[in-house]
Amino acid sequence: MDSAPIAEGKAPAPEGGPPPPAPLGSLEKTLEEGLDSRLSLRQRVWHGLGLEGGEKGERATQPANWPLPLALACVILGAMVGLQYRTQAGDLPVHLDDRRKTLELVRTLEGERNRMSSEISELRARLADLEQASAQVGTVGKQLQEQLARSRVEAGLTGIQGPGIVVTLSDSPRTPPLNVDPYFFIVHDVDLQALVNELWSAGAEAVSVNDQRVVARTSIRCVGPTVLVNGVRIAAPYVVKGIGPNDLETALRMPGGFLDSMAPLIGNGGEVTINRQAEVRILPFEGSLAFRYGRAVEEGK
Amino acid sequence: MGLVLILLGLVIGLAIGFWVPFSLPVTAAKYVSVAFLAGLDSVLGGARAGLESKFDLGVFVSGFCLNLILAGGLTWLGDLLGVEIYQAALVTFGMRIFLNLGYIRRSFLKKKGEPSDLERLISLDSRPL
Repeated sequence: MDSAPIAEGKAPAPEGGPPPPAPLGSLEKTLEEGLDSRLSLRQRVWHGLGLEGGEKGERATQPANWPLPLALACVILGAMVGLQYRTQAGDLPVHLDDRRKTLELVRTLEGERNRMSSEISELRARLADLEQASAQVGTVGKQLQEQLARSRVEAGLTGIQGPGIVVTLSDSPRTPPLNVDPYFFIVHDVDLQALVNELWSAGAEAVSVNDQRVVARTSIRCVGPTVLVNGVRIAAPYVVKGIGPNDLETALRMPGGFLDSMAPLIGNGGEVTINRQAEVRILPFEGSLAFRYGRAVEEGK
Repeated sequence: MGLVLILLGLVIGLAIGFWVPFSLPVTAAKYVSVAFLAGLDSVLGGARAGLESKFDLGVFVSGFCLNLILAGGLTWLGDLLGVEIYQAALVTFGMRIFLNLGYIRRSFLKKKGEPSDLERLISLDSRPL
């Protein structure tokens, strides 16, 4: 440390005249020590942490505390792993076990739903019988019964038949190549929604999708690779039936209309067929129509 | 001591990663995982150099930082260009990780009788192995 003042003293030397001549060996020593003092702060820190490499310029020796920088690097790596794990965990909250359980639950619930919907059909048939019986009591009863029957047709609770069309939509059998969006290789809920909407708009009186009657509270929604209609899972090919005027087919073939919007799917190998038929049968709605939250507003209020 | 220090660093880092208030965007996940591989390679390389008494702080720090940035950056660049450059990093670093692991394993197994390298690593003995 004695050498530090000497090294610093060299800087203002020009104003104080030429430095006293020194032997060559001593000058070299001074320079070296000056260099040492400049590096001393860094070296002192390094030394304190035990990270100082042995002799200067010698690569073969290593600092005493070499695991320390490795540990610091491991802190960074650990943080990266932690962050990454959180991202991945947030990305895939569903594990295989969960999925299996969910699948079982779905199966159970679907079985229950099927049982209940057949129960609904039975009860409705019994209700119709009872109404029939009560209709025979008098003219008022008969009128009421007729009105009920009409309401039931209007609500979609009866099977219905008449002239109409049958539209079949199939997914493309091809596997989408890499780098090609697979979107236009399958039929989507939005396609079915657009089709049903177009049929209503063209004057259809009854519409069904894969024998699920479309009524006032029907929803059509994608769930994974299948579509839910009235809460029932259906899969391609989708058969959409509509009863109504001859315009139904024309409406679908309208330029820029439904069929044109299906062009990408058709181009990829999907199929959309439209058949006009003199007699189309559409099944009744089998779900519940009970209101649990809403209450009817009396007329005039 | 040395090994404990390294493991402690890893645990602290994991804790930090789990507890920091922000999280990685999903899009960055790929880059981080490739960068992690590069970092792991550097650390294993550093451990190997340390066990072989050839550890150099400058080499380690510069290698660690540059490899991290380069691996992540190359992956990002590859995504921009539509070339899966990250596979190059994956293969290279993967291979080097196993190579370094091999050296480390061998240096632990070396001589019988005298204090093992593991013991010396733990006791922070700086004598050449």
